[in-house]
Amino acid sequence: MPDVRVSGLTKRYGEVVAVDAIDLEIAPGEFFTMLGPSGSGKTTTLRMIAGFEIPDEGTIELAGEDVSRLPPYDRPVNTVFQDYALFPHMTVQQNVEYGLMVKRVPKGERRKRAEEALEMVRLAGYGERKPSQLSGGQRQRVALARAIVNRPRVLLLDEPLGALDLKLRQQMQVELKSIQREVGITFVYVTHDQEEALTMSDRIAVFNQGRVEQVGPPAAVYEHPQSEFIAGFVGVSNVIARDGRRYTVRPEKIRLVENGSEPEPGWHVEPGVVQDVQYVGAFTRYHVALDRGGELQVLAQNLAEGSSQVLEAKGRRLRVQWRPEQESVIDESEGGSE
Amino acid sequence: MVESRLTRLFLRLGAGVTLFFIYFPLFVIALYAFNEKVTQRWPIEDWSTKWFSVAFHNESVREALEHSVLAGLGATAIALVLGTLASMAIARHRFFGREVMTFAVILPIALPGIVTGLALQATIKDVLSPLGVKFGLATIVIGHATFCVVVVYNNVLARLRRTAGNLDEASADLGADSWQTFRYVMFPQLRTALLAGGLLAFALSFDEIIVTIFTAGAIQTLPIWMYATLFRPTELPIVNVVALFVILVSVIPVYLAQRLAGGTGVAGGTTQRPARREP
Repeated sequence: MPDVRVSGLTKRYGEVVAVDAIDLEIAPGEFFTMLGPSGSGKTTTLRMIAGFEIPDEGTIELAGEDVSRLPPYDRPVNTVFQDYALFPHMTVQQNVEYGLMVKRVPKGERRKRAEEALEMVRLAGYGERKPSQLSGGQRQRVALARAIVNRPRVLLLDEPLGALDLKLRQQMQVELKSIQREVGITFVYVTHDQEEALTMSDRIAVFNQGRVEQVGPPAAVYEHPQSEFIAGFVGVSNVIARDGRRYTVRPEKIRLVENGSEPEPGWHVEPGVVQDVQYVGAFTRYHVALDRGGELQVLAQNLAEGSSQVLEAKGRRLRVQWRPEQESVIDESEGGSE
Repeated sequence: MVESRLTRLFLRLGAGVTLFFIYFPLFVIALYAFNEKVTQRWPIEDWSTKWFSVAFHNESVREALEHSVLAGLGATAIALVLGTLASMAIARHRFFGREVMTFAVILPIALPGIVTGLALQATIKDVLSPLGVKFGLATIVIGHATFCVVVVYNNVLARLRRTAGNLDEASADLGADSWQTFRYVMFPQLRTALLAGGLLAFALSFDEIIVTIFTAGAIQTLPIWMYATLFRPTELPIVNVVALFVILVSVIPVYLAQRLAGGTGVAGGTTQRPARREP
């Protein structure tokens, strides 16, 4: 039985359809990410699972029980908010104990469990501080401890790392993932950062305009995007139209070869001109205009080349090639010819 | 902007004149409270504090004071409950007519007191008295509550807007029902705002006269007693003492309320002082 099952979920704000008949199934213990740009409906979906918004249509089941109409305090889920929403007048310890306190867990047990939770997020000894005395990263950990101390069936995380700087964010990504493995709670994670989604998730649901366009493991979503939107949002959109098909190829799957060289048997080969070259340190990004129409981005690792060598490629005629199985056909309904 | 010395002098003079303009009459009445004679003549010749004792032992003054305090407490209590509920509804929920509601709650401040008074009198006489509500302390409380609600409402709303918007969601998410959320999360956030709003409401009620005239019936509050006694020359010194008392009872809560509302709330504190730079 899935931990979370969402069927036909719809939410409208006046004329705007924020969430449009979404179906999702999330397995127990899964790290499930809802990825999409702002306004795509991912946060509204999360808020409906939490109980902050009531759906206009559809149902939400948690562990088989329909909770669609239950208030937040009667649902076996907890939320980590984007701005943490720590109670400013309480100490860290009181914040973490809050969920247990309102459920009348005895004081001794409450204290012990809160201390364990703080230890898990590496904040042991910070219990007596006020949230205002903590750094952003520490507040984030308190918010996490405050949620997992209740041992919820499902933990909802609403862009929890959004307010942190890059380095801290990457560190917290690793930590979140290891905490999730340790506690075994199902995580439903909302983010607009595709890299974050690809690194952390077991499965990703890509949201666009209130709909789910694709659900699958990171590699499937990245390497075989099912729509032009996903090709562009998760990575770079390399869409070309050939012989009535529209498809995309990931830039690092494409090879650049000299004009005279022997083509690999079975590979798709096309001539083109290098329009632009960007040296990015570990790799180089080439923009190649194809003779048969369309432009592709190509990434190549700088294995032996230096910046002066790669920059010389600008304006050169050459060939691009890739294996046909790297092509991902995009839904025909997405558009006709270019 | 850099002003010339003359401009600066001129502005300071202006500020001085303004303050003098506002406070001189109050100063005069305060001095008269210490006038030994029954008749008022400037300058005061003989000083005395004997009228304080006389006023303190005056039966009708004591009774009026009791009425004023009770009316103030009653109106403040109603204002605290209704003002808090209204502000929470406005701040937390988007509903149809939200703007209209905001306007409607604030309007009584702009309405002339005499209109409010007349309207209340008509309502009490024609609607409430057949139901058994007679003119008296209860009707004063109702009348005062109509304008006291506004100050509580404004104070609480300002605080709600300043606190992080989703603390109540976080509380509900952690399993607290609405009452627990109010008790453990919202009330601690609002405590000083409620105190400030309550003090202001009490001060407003304590010196109110126009609405009181229309709702009091035969009962006298301190301002009504003062107004009624003003025309009896022999009791004028007592009126002056009571006036000084009313000034103090009105000013102190306003001063405290201002410190509470603007002071060390939740969000403040750290932002007010600029960061110190290393030399």
